[in-house]
Amino acid sequence: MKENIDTLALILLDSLAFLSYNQKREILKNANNISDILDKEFLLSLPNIDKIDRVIEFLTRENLQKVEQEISKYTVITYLDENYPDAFWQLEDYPLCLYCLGDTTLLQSQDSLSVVGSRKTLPQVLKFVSLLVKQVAQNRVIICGNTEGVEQEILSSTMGQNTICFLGGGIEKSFNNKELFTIAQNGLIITEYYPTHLQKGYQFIDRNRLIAVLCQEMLLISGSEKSGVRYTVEFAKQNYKTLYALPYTIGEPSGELCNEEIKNGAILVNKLQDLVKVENSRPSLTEQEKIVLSLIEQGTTQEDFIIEQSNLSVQEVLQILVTLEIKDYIIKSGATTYALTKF
Amino acid sequence: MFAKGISFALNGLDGIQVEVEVDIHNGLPKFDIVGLPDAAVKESKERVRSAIKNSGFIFPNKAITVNLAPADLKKEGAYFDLVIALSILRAEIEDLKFAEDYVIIGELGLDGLIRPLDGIMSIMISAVKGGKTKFIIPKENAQEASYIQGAETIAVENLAEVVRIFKGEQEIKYIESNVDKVFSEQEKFEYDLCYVKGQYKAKRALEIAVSGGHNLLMVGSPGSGKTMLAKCIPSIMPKMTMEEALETTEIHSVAGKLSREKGIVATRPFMTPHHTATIIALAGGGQDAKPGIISLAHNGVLYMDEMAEYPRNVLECLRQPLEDRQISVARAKLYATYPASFMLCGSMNPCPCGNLGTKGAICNCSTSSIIKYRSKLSAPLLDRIDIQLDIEGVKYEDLSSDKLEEKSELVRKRVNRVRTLQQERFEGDKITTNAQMSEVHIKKYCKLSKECDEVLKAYYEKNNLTARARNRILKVARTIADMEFSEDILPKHLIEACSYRSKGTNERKY
Ligand SMILES: Nc1ncnc2c1ncn2[C@@H]1O[C@H](COP(=O)(O)OP(=O)(O)O)[C@@H](O)[C@H]1O
Ligand SMILES: [Mg+2]
Ligand SMILES: [Zn+2]
Repeated sequence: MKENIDTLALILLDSLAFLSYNQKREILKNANNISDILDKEFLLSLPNIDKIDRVIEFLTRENLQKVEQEISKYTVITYLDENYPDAFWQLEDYPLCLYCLGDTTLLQSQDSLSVVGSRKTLPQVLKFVSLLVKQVAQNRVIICGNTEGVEQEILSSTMGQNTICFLGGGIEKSFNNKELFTIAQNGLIITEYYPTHLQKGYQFIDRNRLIAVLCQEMLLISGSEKSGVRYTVEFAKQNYKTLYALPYTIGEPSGELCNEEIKNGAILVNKLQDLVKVENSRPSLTEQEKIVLSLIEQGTTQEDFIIEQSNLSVQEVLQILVTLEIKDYIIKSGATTYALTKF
Repeated sequence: MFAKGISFALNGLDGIQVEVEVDIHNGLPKFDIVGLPDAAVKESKERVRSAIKNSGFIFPNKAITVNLAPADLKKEGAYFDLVIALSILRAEIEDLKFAEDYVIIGELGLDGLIRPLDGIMSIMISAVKGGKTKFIIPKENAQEASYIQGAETIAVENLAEVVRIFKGEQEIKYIESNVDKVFSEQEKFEYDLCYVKGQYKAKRALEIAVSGGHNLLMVGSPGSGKTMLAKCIPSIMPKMTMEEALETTEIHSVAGKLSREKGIVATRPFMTPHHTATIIALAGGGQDAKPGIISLAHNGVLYMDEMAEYPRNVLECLRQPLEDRQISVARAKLYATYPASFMLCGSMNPCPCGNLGTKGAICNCSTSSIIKYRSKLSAPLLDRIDIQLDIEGVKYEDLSSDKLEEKSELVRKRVNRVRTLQQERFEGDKITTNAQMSEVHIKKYCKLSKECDEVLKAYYEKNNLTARARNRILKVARTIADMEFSEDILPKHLIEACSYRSKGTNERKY
């Protein structure tokens, strides 16, 4: 029950729209137990908190019930939870709470592709995006937002399947309910904003920093040189994510950023197969393949030793080694030795 | 006075019947031989005359003409000494009678002793095929003759003995047939797979190679065990059949390499030419168009150590025999064709210094010198080597030593079964092993399912393989499937076949 109070208190604090993120952190920093923040004495002892009166007014045990009520439809993952995504710890301003609707296990995927782009995107490109994400979503997790243009196209194509959709505001203020329902049923809707908070323009850039750290790879669909999506791309690159981009003809404003990024080393994607093949290049492994792979991971890299230690027959091991090579997990590194593929 | 006899000459492996006619009449004493090259005539006359005299007979002081037919055959004189001498003596010694269906072969020494000759087995096989059954041959060739079925053979030591036999003064003793004894002894091999520690992949590759008759190339640094592995090959090959033994013996006999005591090659030959060997030594030919080392390896193994050290032209002369399983050699006017159906086993270093790719060793070779070294083995030659394998010495003390390694005898039993299966399948195709499959056979016997096709395609894309490698992989996959008695080639067979490719023969430095 104590845990529950801590969590609820945290959510209650998070719900206070008039406090900045840093102020919330400041309050939490000084609390021994999170539930301390419900204590008037404690709050009064804090130095330099603006609007402390309002804080005291709202942070009460009575309001916990109201919060409990408001979030009852959602799964809330706080930074105190086991299943809080590791990726977000990379951020200075990691979210305190994540308000989720749908399958939160998608957050644990180690093979996700974020797809980003601007509102202004050519119709033929949208068509391509639609085909592409349908394919990719077959075996990878797609991460995107919910704004019009590219992101809406993705959502209506995958219908939420294997899709994580980040919102730039509270869930209740972001969607018409029917749409929300479909996507949450197949995939995951997630936001760091309390359900009743409004969307604000700058929050899309904040939202996109979550997309950029959570994904393994990023595909840039469109964007002018001034487009806000450039911050997202920059952020992904700083976090060592592999960047893919579509090519555009000279003079097409919605493609300036893409061409620029390709020039800087992003991988050019102009056919479905370009990305779908890369998608398929590391398919899942059988149990026996896993045995051999884990031996190599542990430093048993020579054929003879792999054969002895795996308890598999010679021909089985030889087949598995070739298969792992084809599946891109290992390479032949010496005459009779193997090494893990570097990504 | 006129006498006739029958002998045989040798052209390649073919015995050719030669009729010897001797005409003796009173007149100015002379001794002519017609139908032999000039140089041979002089030597032959010398030997026949001396042998007759030194055996206690009188050389007739008359006009003697010997005619050898056919005349246009380029023949060596030595084979006819005995029949010429006997024909001359018949003119003088009345009761010296011999049926003209005796084939008489023997070189005479000046003292009347009969010397052994090369190729007696070939001659006898040809003669028996031509309907001849009775032979007089040199005593020292008795052993090889004893393996010929359907021959009544008298082995003789000297001219006087032959005369006694034909005069009826000495009991005729035919040599005993040894046909039944050829394979009665247990074969003993110096090298056995059970002495090879670890090298599981290499041993598996050896079994596949021998099962399907595939050629094999091992790439590895010095001391990694290539030679040791190669020497184990005969111990897992199927026992020779009588037919194979005779084929191989013939070649050894003609080349003068047959052991006179053994008289037969009943265990598969393992020939190891040195890389300084000349083309003639390797391929055959020269003055007397003798078979070369690769023909001596017929039905056995040709092991070429340090393959990249051989001169280019020597290596390229392997192409024809690897394809046709025989080799033609030319001498002055004639071509002789010798069988050369062998398993090629080659070994080479991964680079000139030998260290490339070996853990913990340093290779200082330049990329260009490595490329040059590897390109010694041309693509057409590599196309004929289905299994290519990287070998690396392992610290054997690290392997679990209690593991009992498999004996060659067991592997050989499996090989036998797979060989039988192939022979049955290829009945009517004129081939016996998977390695011999041509494009047509591959289409017929290596059909791939869609799944297999995809696996192969994936492997190809991954490794940038050329189309040439495809047939090699298919043939090996066929053998691996056969080893499991699987009618179809399954993806796992194909995948394993893909693993027998060497990094050491492509152009990349790794
Ligand atoms: N797998 C092995 N098991 C046992 N002995 C080995 C093995 N590999 C190499 N040796 C030993 O090392 C020696 C050198 O091997 P060798 O076959 O001559 O190497 P290479 O021909 O590759 O230079 C052999 O005489 C053999 O005794
Ligand atoms: Mg050697
Ligand atoms: Zn080197």
